[in-house]
Amino acid sequence: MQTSFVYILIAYFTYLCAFFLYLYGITFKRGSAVLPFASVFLGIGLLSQLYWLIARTYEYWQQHKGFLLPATSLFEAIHFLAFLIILLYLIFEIVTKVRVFGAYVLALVLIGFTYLVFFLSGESGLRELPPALKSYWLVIHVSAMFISYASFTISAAIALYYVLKEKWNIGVKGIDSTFPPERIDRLSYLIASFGYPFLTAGIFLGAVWANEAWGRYWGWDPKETWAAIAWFIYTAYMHARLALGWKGFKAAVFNLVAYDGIIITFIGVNLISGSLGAESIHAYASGKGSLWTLAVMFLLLIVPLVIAFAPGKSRSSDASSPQHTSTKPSSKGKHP
Amino acid sequence: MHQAHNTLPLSHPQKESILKVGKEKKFQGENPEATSASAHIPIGKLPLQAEEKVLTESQEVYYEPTLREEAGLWELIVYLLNSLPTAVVALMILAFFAIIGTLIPQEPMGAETADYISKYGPLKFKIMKSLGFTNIYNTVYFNLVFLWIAISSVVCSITRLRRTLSLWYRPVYRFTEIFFSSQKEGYKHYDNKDITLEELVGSLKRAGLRVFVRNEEESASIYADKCFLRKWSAVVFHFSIIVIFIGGIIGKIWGFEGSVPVPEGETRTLTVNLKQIKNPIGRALTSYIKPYVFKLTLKDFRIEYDQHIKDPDLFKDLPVNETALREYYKYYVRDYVSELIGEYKGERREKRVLVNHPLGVGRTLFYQASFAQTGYITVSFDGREETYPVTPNTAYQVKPDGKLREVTSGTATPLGSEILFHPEPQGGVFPVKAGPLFKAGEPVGYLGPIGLFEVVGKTDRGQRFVLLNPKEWFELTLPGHTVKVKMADKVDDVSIFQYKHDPGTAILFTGWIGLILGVLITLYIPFVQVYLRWQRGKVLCYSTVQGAADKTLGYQLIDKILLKG
Ligand code: HEM
Repeated sequence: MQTSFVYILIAYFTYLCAFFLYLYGITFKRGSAVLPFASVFLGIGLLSQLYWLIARTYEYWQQHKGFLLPATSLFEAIHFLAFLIILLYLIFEIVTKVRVFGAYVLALVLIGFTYLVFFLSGESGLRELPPALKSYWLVIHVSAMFISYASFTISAAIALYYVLKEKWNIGVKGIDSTFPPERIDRLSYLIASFGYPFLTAGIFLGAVWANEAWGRYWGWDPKETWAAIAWFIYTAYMHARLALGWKGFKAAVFNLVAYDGIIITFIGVNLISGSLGAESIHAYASGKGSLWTLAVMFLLLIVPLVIAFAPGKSRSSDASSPQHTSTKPSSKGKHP
Repeated sequence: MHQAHNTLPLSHPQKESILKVGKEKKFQGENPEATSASAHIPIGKLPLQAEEKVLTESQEVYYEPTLREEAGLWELIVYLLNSLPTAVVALMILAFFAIIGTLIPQEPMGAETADYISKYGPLKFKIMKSLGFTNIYNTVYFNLVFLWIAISSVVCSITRLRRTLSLWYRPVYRFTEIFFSSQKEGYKHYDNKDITLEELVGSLKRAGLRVFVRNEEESASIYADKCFLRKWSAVVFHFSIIVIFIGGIIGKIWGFEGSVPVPEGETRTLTVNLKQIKNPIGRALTSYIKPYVFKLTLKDFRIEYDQHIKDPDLFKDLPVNETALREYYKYYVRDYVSELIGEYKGERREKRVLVNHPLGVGRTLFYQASFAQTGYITVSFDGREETYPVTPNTAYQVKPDGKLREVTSGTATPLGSEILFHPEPQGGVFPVKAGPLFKAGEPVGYLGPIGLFEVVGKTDRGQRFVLLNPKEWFELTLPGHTVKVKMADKVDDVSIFQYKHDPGTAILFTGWIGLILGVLITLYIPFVQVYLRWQRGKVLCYSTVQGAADKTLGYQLIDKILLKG
């Protein structure tokens, strides 16, 4: 028997519950009382995923007599990324006490889980591993990369909320009544800036590993290259924010563009590379690109950009330089 | 001195600063005249020039260089190198070129002219090739954009270093009330505070801030900051980009790589002559280097196999009656083990080379890269035995004369035996497997050689797989004869080593580590600045925070000091 699939289903189910609780919490008056329960559901799902991870690691241990991070097949990779997104999101909730973005963050996790359960369940088993993967670098490199993916995911979800709100005025009361747009904007940036050093380090650690395993630190393998592309775009994003003063709508759109780089790096390369004849050396790069999965991926890539760039009314014309609402420049500073 | 603004001074502080800072106007510290005059400026009038500078800088006004209208080409280039929007665009261009490289197969990764032509047609291929799209990462323009970013990064950080330095040495000026009231983000005002200047400064210092005080009559201006390290690190890691670039270039010029096959039990000499492999520029730069001569002896090479202790997933798709395939797939490569001796100019190194564990000799690394395991089969024809080598992706047939011959689709004769097709190796899976066998990491004996063949019948079109081993005969049909085949004991192992000499790696990695540390410090450690005006019974406070932190960090600190009572 392979590691029980039941734990995947439990996580899927609890995340679905959490999703609806979050939705309820932000759309209904006085709904915010249920938000902590949503977090509890997330916690349960997370434990279930953690159990699956530990059990799978143990199976690898039995098979290979070595520690291996279960993130080597497409199935495991999506599972592990979902795990990290939820984990980071919960930490983020605890640190910032912001609970309202749960539904937005969960949307992508649920798409991932749906893919796992309905399309990839046949590939959930243990794989034989090429010797190159049996290395402690796997844990280090993959963890760093995935932590960055997870934080960029949360950041992009919040940026998407910002864009929807600014441009289409699609928002929810529960968020807008408590969060001025500047705060949303800043949260999105802070989480991206948390992920950026991880992406930088992750690429470097991958290079060190490649140098050890294949004798070259950089080989322009499609996955490597896309990680670099995503890094270039996030570097540009960081500069736009830190050194050019971009804020608000423009910055949120930039964030979404950069996130497309992550989607392609994480999964697009696997799905497309086969059809383009550019083979990748990376572990789970052999995922099947059925028409459905390709379609979903292209939607993920394009829909946020359509939302951002389609002609439409912007709520405020000068969204890029929001004013602080707490202390107005004209009024004299108040006694605290 | 006093510019003629009226009501709202500095309503566009950014614009003014662009002119002032951008032109790097020499700033004269504290002008005594200005200082004395300022004492009487009422709120709502203009701050002093000195103050204005601090004001604009404190508002995180983003430095933008300026360009004279009559500027020449050189000035233009320097201007562009110094301009951040240009750098951001350059980054996006680099990303764009890199994307092209992932959409079109690249020559260095093994794509060949024929592949391109069959995929794109000759005309499109010609255009793509002349644009460099088939080898984009080695084109001049790709590397120029990279170089541009590297230089720009250094230029940017140097020009901004001056600001950092002035903040480091002389951060305190006279902060009048206007300084506070014209902060866009507001400021804080603490009334009825009977704190003495000494107490205030002492508390700030205890909180770990650098504190600078400027005494005025009955009042004082204070500047304090925390974690200045962040400012330095931003400067340092912008230099890293060029260090990385230099490391890469050094590798390109003085490095070399390739692969060398060494059969088991033999010695091969590898000679690398840079003159033969470098382009003209590289040749000129490396002409003083004598050819490298390495001697490689492969004492032993084995492929170790492990086996699944549970049925792997792929068995789910295999019919139960495919016992040969099931048996064959049960074993997978655990590691490639080469006992390798490398010699270079009297230096002798011996090592067990595994994947992820290369041998280093003569500052060159030899990696376990590839391998070939080819088998032999023994044919028994009416009792007569003969052994033949078999290569993957080839079909064989025993002919009526009893000999095993290679066949292609046209040459199979109906008079011969069934056809035995030896499949192609894929992803670390070979049609022949032989080597030490493990089970869950523990050695359990020796595997094989086992050889996988697809048996294609002459009459029925049915196909099936057979897994030959050296112990059991497998019967073929050839009317009038007894024909049997089995694997021979012998296997040829060739180990293929990738070698790489790259004197730039250490430099490149150093730069990269600098980059990571710098980015970490810059993004995670907040730089807190506090501007205070102390008067008897009243304190004004303005604070900024750079980096991932609560923007009110500075205010919280002052709150703690002033509101603790
Ligand atoms: C690809 C390489 C680069 C990386 C990884 C990088 C990274 C960063 C990071 C993380 C920051 C935030 C630091 C802060 O807030 O102080 C930053 C700021 C900055 N970068 Fe870069 N950068 C790169 C290239 C460049 C280039 C080419 C330029 C110039 C054209 C540049 C100019 C700046 C400036 C002016 C700042 C603001 C510095 C400050 O606020 O003190 N960077 N960079």
